[in-house]
Amino acid sequence: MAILSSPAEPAHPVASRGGIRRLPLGLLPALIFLAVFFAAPLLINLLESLRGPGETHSLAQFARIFGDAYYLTVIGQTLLFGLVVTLACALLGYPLGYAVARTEGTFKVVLIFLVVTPLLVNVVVRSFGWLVILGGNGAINAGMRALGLPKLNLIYNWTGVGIAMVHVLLPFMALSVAGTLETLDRRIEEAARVLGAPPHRLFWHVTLPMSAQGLITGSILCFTLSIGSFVTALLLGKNSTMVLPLLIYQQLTVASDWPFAAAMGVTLLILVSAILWLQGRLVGEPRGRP
Amino acid sequence: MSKLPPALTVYIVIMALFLVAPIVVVVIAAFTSGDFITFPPQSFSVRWFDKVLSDPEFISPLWNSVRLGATATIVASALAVPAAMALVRGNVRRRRLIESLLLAPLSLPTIILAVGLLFFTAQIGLGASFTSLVIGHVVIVIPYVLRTVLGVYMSANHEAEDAAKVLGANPLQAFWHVTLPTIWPGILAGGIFAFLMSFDEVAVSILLSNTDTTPLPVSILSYLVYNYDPSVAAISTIQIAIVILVLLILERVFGIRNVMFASR
Amino acid sequence: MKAMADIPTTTHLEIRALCRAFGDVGALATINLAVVEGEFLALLGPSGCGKTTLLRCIAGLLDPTEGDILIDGQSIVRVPVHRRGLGMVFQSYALFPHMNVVNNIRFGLKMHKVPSSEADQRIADAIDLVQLRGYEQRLPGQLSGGQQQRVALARALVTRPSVLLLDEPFGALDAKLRQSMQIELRRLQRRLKMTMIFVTHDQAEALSMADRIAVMRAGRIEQLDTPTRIYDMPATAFVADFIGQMNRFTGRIIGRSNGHALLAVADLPAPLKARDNPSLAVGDEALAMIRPERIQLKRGSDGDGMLEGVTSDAIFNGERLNVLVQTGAGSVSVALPNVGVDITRAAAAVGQPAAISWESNDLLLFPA
Repeated sequence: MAILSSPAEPAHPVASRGGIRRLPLGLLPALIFLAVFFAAPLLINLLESLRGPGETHSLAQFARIFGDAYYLTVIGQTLLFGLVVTLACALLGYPLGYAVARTEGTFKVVLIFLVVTPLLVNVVVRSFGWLVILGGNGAINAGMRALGLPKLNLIYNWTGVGIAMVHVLLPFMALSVAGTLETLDRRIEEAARVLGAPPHRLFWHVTLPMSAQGLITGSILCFTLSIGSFVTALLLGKNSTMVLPLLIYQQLTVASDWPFAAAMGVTLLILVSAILWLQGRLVGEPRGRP
Repeated sequence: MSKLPPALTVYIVIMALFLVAPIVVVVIAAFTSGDFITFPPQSFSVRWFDKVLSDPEFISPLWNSVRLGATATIVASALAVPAAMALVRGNVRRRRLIESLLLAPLSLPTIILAVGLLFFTAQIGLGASFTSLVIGHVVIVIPYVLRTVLGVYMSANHEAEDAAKVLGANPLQAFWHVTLPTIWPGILAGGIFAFLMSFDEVAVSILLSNTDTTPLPVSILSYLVYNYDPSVAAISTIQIAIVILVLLILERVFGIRNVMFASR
Repeated sequence: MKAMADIPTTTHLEIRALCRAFGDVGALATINLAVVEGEFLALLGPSGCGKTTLLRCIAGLLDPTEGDILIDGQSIVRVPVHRRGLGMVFQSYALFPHMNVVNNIRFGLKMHKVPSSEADQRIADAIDLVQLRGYEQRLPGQLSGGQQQRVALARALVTRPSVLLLDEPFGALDAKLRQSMQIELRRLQRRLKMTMIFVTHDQAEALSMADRIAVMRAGRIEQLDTPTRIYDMPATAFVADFIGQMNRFTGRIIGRSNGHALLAVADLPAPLKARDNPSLAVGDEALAMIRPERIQLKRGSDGDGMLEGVTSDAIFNGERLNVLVQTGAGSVSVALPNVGVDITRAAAAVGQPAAISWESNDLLLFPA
């Protein structure tokens, strides 16, 4: 009584009866919300920056920015500052991230705690703390005076802003590196050691290259965040240490020049997008803050 | 314990000191008995805490920050949880793309968003208000909740949901009885993180707040522009205490490392 | 295994012309299947053949692109999952991790709004049925794999489903436990007289448990038959090869005589006689297959056997001795039952000439 199935004809797909929907309903609220309150504001920002006299559109605001040496200097300063800060974070943050990834148990938890807590304490509070430490009557100079050494000018200049900025961004770098190192296959390192690699060569030729992605991601994150941050510069710098975001803030609150501020905002957005695009090329998948 | 080379351990200790320095300094300064911030303080007292806790100029912004953070977190969770579930279980084309879009706010400096929202809310008549603040914070904070929920949900056993459905649960019942208990830690962790990030946010808060809705960082900032006394240190210490407390809860409930290295 | 005459012939579940287009993997192409009341049917096949897809379509967790599914003559293909009244057991047990054993089992009853007095009774009966008395308050994390699977079974059965679907339920258990669970399940099924559809990729499991087996491949059912007929009379070369072991020869049909077909195999002096396959014509290329245990082995070659050659290996696996004989037609595997190792080894005699023979009807022919 062998029952063979009838010779099969190839299946002709009919329009799906709800088997595979295009876009599940659950996604809609979030997507709509972000479309309205994230994408639309950016668009309006762009439109505002193109506002000309009367009802026209013009690039006049951008001409103001790129035609004036002062604004170009500010942009240049911002980028340079970002670069220096990122470099410092990379050098200082990699070993920190390495330590987080390669320790175990309570030590690890404590370390993560130490790295994460500054992240979550408000940047205003942290900058205030640095004011206390670096200021003329602050901790460091108190120590200098006690030792009979001259006073150090550590605030209201690039140094102070730089130190505070590195402090803000270091955890991002460390966590990015740690994240990548955690997912590395340790067996590759073990194979290298069996093949005869001593610790420093193991690190240089195996571990570091394999964790490059975390380093790059962290660096790009640090860079975008540093060129977008204004609180640190506001509290620890002064007019000579002007950066683009602070300029935008001033234009909005002090000068109330909205189209101009919008144009600078667009400029900043373009700079950040360019960096993110670069990251996409280098890494393949953009990541954000930890 | 750690298996690190000794040089690295020394480095870590130095770095740890660097990381906690400003926070520790602020906390110590808050206990100054003098009228000005000097370091090290000559003598200690809690008078600044007394002053700050009874001063509406400080307490009101603290309360604003708390309710802003709570509201933003709840709204963001309501949006992110269904999105995370749809991304994992629905057969979505271009899943990666949509995921990247939803996580996009993480990559942008918040000043850009703040400026855009300033114009946007002015145009739709909301202006600087609590609602505008909530909207801005929700946009910033959604990715944090989405990320942790995605992480938890992706590693969960989905067959339990199938089993519930075959046993007679409609989709809502299956979610309530089976899915939610499983992803609850993820929602909580993401929510806590979101709350803390909202507490931390300056750019959006500064541009979209008015006198009634000033969140804490903004009020500290404006106070600092004109004053430099330990009351700032006192209120900051209170905020630090809140953050540390919440982080400890997070570690208990979820394990802090899981939040940090979540998803993908 | 029941004889054909004992099975009631009421069709309980029927699948008509079911198709599912789903990219390349797990697609189904026109499935027709009628499952009889109280039958234990196995869906067997390699991974990707569509057996799990078919099961999930029956459950309602996936939608077919075309076709119909009927239970007792009623179409259920448009009924949502939670209203189909079926039962399902998963390979990963899929227990609710935050509920204890009793509440896991209670879940379906709650969903169907069974009053609690009756529910409590049914739960107690179910727990007895799967022999888990004493474990009621445990959480899934506190149970072993076998115990978790029994809870999953109880949970599915307690709602009295019309059909029970099982998706490789024993795949995650170790060999011994798997065997005892198989026997338990079968006993349970006979006692409850419940229709069960069981997906597996393990042919030994299917052969030992099922009333009928549907062997699937690439979205189609290749053969639907009782285990013995699937084993002894496979309908296609794929089924023949997938189940058990097979020796293969390729050749050409050169004629027929007395109900046998004659197969000319390269390098053999005389054609082989094989069971006739009417679908093959004289002159066609054909594939001939025979099971290793159907072959007789003789020492020495005195010209009596069908094939002559030299023994090259003897591989002992406990129950049998697998002897490889190198013949003019290639390497042939002969399975000798272990009736005492010394005797068997003497019979095998590696390196010695040997002759092998078989019943002609045991050599099956398939299109090449």
